[in-house]
Amino acid sequence: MSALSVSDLVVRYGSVQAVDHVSFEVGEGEFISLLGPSGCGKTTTLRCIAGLEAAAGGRIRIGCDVVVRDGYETPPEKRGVNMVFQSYAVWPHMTVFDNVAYGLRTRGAAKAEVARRVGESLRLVGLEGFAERYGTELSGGQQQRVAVARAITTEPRLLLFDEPLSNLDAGLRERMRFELLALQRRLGRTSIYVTHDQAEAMVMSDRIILMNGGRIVQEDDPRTLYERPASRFAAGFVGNANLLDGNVVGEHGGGAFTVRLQGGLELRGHASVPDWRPPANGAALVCIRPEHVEVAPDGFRSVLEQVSYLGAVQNCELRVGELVLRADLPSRPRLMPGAEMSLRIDPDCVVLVPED
Amino acid sequence: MGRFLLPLLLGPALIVLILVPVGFMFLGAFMSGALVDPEARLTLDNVAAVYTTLPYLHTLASTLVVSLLVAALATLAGVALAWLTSRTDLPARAMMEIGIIAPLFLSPFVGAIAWLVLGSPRAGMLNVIAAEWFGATGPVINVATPAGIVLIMALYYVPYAYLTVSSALRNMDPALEEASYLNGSGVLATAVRVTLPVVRPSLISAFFFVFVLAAGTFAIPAALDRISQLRFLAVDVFQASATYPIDYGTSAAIGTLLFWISVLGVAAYRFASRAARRFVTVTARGYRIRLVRLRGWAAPSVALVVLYVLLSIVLPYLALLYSAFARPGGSIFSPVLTAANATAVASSREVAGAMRNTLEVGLITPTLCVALGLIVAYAVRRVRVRGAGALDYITMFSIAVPGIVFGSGVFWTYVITPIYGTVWVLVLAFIASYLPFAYRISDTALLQIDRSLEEASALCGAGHARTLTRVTLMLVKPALLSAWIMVFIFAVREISAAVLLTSSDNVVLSVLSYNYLDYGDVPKAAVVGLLQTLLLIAGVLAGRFVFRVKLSRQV
Repeated sequence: MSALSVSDLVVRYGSVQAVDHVSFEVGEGEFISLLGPSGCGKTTTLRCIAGLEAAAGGRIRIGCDVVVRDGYETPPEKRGVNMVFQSYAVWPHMTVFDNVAYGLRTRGAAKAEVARRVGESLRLVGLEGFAERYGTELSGGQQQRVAVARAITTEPRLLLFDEPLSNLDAGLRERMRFELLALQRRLGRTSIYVTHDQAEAMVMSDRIILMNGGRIVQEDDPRTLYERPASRFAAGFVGNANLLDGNVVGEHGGGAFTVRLQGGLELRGHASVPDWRPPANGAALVCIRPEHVEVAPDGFRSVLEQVSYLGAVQNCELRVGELVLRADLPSRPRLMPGAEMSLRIDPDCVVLVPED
Repeated sequence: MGRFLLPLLLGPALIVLILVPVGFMFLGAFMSGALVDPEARLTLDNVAAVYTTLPYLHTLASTLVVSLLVAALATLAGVALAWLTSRTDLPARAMMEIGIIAPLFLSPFVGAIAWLVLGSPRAGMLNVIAAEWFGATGPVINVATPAGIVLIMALYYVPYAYLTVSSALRNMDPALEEASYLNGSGVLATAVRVTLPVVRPSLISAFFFVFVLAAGTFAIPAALDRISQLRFLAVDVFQASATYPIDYGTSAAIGTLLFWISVLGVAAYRFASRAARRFVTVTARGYRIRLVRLRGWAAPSVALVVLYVLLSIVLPYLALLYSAFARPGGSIFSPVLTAANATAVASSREVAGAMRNTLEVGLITPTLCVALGLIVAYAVRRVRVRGAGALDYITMFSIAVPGIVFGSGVFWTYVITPIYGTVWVLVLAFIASYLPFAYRISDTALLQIDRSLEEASALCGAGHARTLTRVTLMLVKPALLSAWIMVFIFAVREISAAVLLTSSDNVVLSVLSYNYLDYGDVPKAAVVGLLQTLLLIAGVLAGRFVFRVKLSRQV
């Protein structure tokens, strides 16, 4: 049985449908992310799972307990889940030790056990020696670790993360990503992670649930989500993409097609979803990632219009007839605007995306 | 103008307005008679008597005990009400909140007169009703007892505690409580182990805020004290200078004692407020807090709020209306209503004069007070004049000075000048008392205006004066209007300084109703109290609907 099952979840704020019939399952020990722009319903979904927000409809099952079902709501303290908050929510009137011990003491755990398990959690997050400090005396990163230690100490059935890294500065955020992931792998806790940062979701998740406008748009592992976006929104939100309008002019079986882009350029590619059929007028949306455009001796011709040097790559704007293509090319040799270049795109990297 | 001239003008003005009266009161405490008295000389007698002998120390002790009890009760009730309105799904929360803070805009003195009508031992309406309906043989309630005074004072100070605590609860990161739920604590455990400890500094500051207000209060004990035997410092300051044998020196000496208590209370309050700022945590974007479902507790909770509104507003005003409009001597079960008494009082020359004086004071005080508060705030915050710290300190200093102490100081300072006996002497005392409110509100408003808004005006070619009038003043206008309304309300209902400074030509409504009460004419006092209340309500309504001011956020 899956660790979490959400089916047909609906949340309304007045007339606004914040979460619109969302359903998904999370397997035991899985790390999944809810990814999407702000206002897409990802945090609301997470808060419904925690019991902090009331659902207008749908069912939520955690383990073998149904916690939300037509108007019935198990209160949050009885759900056996724990959460790491965006604002850390480290209680300012308690020491680090008391913060982490809170859940155990609530359950009436024995003193020796509290000491042992709090010590263990603090060691896991690298905060040994901070037990007697107050939350407000710690830096943001340290407070975040306290929040994580507090959440894992109660051994929750689900570990929920609500944009936990968004208040940290860039360098620390990157380091914490790997630490959190390593911790989750070690503890094997089923985790649900809300973020609007696609890089964060890609690095950490077994599976990403991409949301927009209160609905689930796509649900896949990071590689599939990036390489086979199933909609214009998915292609545009996850990573950079050239999204070009084209026409299917040939079909080769197995999902492979030839498309003609504006200005006559013809490319071979394949559909991102199996069994995709081009519509009657043959129109198709073509997604090409900038890093998949290469310089090759006998490809199609283009003129370099603009170039920005980014260190690792140079971000180029290339004109192919009427078409403008963005490409990330190796930063050497140095390219100058006006140069004529011959380009190639691997057919494996030309993806036909169904229009929304 | 600028950095040198402005403090040269403001500094002396503030010193004369605020520090000189307090200084003169201290001087008076060491004088054997009023300053006009040619035989007056310096003496230690008054101070020695007040600070070391029993009757005064007894008054000091009862003032302290009563104020501490009042502060504790008001804070307790304030916390409970604040938790209900900010953390639960209490029905009609907005209306409930209006009911809770409404007593702020009414006069506690008028409330005390009403409670005298309701709960005096023999003739009190509640006692008469209890005897008639339930066959009670003795008085069931007696407000003219220490317990009665404590309860009625607490009743009228609940809104102050409520506002302090509810703003702390609203500013608290909801995730702190949510984290507690997710760690397995229920509603009650979370409230006790997380919510209360986190807002504890603001509970302490609410406690001391109410303590300072209660210790300096004149209105309620003065109304009820005549029949109880509870001595109160603020009342003694007045009694010593108004009843025979008149002893101005002793009055001033008691004033200094009251001053020290107030200073200590304000110091404790400031300490607690600083601690409150230390507890500020990082807050996430504002999602709505999960409200506790009251379910079966909803009805008792609503009943609690309704009971409060009933006790603080509804019953008192019913009693006042009864005593103003019922023919004296009739039964309260079948009152004969008549407007004769009310119209006679309202159209009397005394009331007309008091009304005119109250309006004069009520319009002049807030206007000058807000203007001065704004200028000081502008000098301190924007021009960053030399000595800004000192200006700030002097302006805020009067927070620690009870109204009656200012009254006493202004009396000693101006008694030999021609303005004594005019409404202007009241205006001076009131401005000094309420300047901190006007200053704080202006200061907060200026702080919230991003400097770049003014800089943008300058870069568009506007001069200093144009930027000031077209940008800065326009942006702080809403705050200034609400400060004006607040000070208007304070000035109209003020009684402690007014009663000390009164003479035949500057009687205001509050003093007039005190005088009627003093002669034992409760119906007349009730009519004047009602007139005063009408004026206050007009002020609140003007603020709410004409100026669109949110008063609950400004106190």
